[in-house]
Amino acid sequence: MILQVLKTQFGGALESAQKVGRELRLRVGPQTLVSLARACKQLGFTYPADITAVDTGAELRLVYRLVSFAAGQQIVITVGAPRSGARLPTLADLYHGAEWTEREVYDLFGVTFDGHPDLRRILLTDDWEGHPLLKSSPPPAARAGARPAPPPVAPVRDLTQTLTPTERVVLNMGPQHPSTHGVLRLELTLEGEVVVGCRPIIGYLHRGVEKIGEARTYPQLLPYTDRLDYLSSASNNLAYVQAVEKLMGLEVPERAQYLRVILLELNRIASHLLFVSTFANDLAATTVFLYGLREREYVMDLFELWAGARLTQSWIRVGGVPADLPDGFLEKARQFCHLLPGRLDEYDRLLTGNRIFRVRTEGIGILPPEEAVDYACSGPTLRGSGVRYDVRRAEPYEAYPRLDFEVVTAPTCDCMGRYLVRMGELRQSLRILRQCLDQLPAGEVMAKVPRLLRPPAGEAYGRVESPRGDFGCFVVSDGGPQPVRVRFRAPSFFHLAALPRMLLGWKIGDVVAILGSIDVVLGEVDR
Amino acid sequence: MIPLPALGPYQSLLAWWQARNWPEWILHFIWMLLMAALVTAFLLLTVLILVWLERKVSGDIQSRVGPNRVGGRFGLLQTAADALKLLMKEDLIPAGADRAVFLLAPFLVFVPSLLIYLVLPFSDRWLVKDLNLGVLFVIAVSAFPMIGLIMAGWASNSKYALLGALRAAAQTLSYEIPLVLAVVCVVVAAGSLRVGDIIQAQRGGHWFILRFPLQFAFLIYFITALAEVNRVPFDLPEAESELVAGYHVEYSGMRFAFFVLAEYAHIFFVAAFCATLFFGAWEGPWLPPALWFLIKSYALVLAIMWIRWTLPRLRIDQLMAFAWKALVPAGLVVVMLTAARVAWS
Repeated sequence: MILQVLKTQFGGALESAQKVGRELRLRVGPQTLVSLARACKQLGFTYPADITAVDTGAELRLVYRLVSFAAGQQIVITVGAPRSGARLPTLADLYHGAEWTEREVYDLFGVTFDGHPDLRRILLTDDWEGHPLLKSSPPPAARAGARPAPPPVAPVRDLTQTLTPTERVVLNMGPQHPSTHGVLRLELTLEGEVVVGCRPIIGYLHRGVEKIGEARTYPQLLPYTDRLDYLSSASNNLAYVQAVEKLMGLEVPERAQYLRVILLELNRIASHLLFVSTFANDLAATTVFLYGLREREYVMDLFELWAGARLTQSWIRVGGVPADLPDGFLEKARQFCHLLPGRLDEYDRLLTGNRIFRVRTEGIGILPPEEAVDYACSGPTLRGSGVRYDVRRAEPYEAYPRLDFEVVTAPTCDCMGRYLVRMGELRQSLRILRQCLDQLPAGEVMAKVPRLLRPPAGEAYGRVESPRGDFGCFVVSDGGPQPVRVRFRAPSFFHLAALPRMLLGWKIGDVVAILGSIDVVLGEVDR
Repeated sequence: MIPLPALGPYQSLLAWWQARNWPEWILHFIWMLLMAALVTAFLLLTVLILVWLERKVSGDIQSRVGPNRVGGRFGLLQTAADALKLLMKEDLIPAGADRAVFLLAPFLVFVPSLLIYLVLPFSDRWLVKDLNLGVLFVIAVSAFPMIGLIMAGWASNSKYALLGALRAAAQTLSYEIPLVLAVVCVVVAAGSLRVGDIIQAQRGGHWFILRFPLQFAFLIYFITALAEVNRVPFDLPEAESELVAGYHVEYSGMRFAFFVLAEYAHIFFVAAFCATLFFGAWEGPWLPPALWFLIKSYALVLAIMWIRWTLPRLRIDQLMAFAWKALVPAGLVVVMLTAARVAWS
């Protein structure tokens, strides 16, 4: 239907158009891009899921991925561009969420976006030479030691001599700060305690995973994905594995699907528990911090029992899971399901009803629903703004269609809303976990997978609801043992782009609360 | 008014001294030096205990163990070991700091915290100096560390420290007023600013906490005391998750230790003073008065710690609004009620 509308509207301008699963794949020239995107937005594709590029060796292909929540479909627009000196019109004035993704494409591929409000490097330092994701750029190891000497440190400015009473102060919050949850730097402009400007500066943890991925075989790349969103390694694993399985047309055994869901939901519980902990800690409720970690420890023990690793499990492999549950796992998991609800009630008593906690979170950091979608926010950040969208429901995967759970939302659009969504999801995850433990079918845990993975040429997109939101992985294969391009779409990256929108006008204490409420993991932001 | 018999030992010593025809001022000087040494020793010991206690209490609240290695299985010597470590640390002064002010600030914070112990009635026979204006002295001197905090924040040449100092100034100024109002209630009820008289007025179990409307004065005093000593939910000047450490972020080693020392000294003082104002100081059955005084003080200290490890932190504007819109009007009302009650009876 949508395809028909677009075909009649654009006719010959569409170089190719086909429907693959939920994706409408369109290819157009650069001159039609903006009008096509505008038409898509009018058709309900308001969520700019991702913008990235692929260097095929012959040309640069820009891939725009737009999602419609109502239609449950994706439009993938491919635009060809020359490999060097490419110029394209920007979509940043159409979609807020395009601003940072276009910056990233500029940074890593050297594509210039005309009309972009703030086209600077984002993941790499300003003095970096070249654009690393071009195939002509040497791999990271070859560049070691090639960096020029850092510029001399500027002399310390003597505040006591120069600060006048009315001056705005630029405060660097991070990269070493107890509440930035990693190596994030917020360049805050303050008027007294009030934030009047905010510029998130990222890239401190950039490891070039996407570049490394082009030099690894498919199984070799899997452990790298654990280290993206390190608080929920299973969802990263799954997004990547899903893309590879789609390329190879693999069917995963039912038991493996359930086991994967168990792993995913345990990861979600661990991650959300850490969220509650750190969020409380940011607001100085130190005790809840330790309570949350205490409960998370049970989950970590479960992981250790099953996968050996506690944090980076790498336990979702192409074709299934590498090993069945060990003895005693089910009992321990059931015990945990029995234990956690009481503990969650305890958090509720300590935090949710606490007056100080409420005045610190209610009405703070408002993100209206339309803007949340426009910034491509997802997960609890989106649902905290009252938008009922969950990839587990919208594009179900694994055993989720057979499981009964609610998509938790909160209408308040504030820090409290985002916190309540996560508290609700903890309970829903427990519900899913219980169902999985009860329904767990017998059978194989691994599909028949060839020794050497050589997915046929093509592209695929894996999409997972991670604890932070819509985690995507875009894999392009040329039929060889190594991917041509791997792209990870990290939800926190988009949430950080929306952070200045939420922060302006609030106070320093709120910065901590708002940043805590979107629960960023810098491992996936910087990749 | 019956004077507190705190100077009892001094009186008998004086008689002996005068029998030898020695000038009195020498004895007085020696006596005062001795008192200063005793108070300092008491204070250092108290801080040592409080830091250890805080770690143990927080450990207990947070379902963990707390210090359990240094000094036996209860980690009794942990604080002493930490103090030793701080002594050996390098004394860092940041580039661009205002040297003289930076170096002076910790002492300006610490000395007033020590001074206020002069009027603390440790027992019925033990009070260094029962000043006529004892309560006024406490209020005046305990507001003094604020200057040290501002100096520390300003001289550090760090924005976090500066923000912390500004918060400290705003907060201490605002909470000083309801604090004074709460204390005024007690002063009105006792009819004197002398600590001895306040205790005297509560003798025989007529503690002020039991007398309407001084319960409300106690509440106001306790809340503002939390703010005075920068404890959660009012720990904004040093808010770790926001300002990293606030005004003392650039301090290290012994100078940092002086801030901690002053903070815990102040915590014990507000608890002990609260016991004096509302709980009859050292009065109690069976046990010796000094022990009663410590029991009451430590109970209040524990309450302060309990709050610290339970509640989240307010935001700066909410904190100010709470002081000016809630505590100050409430304090005024309680003062009027107290005055009315005293006038009637």
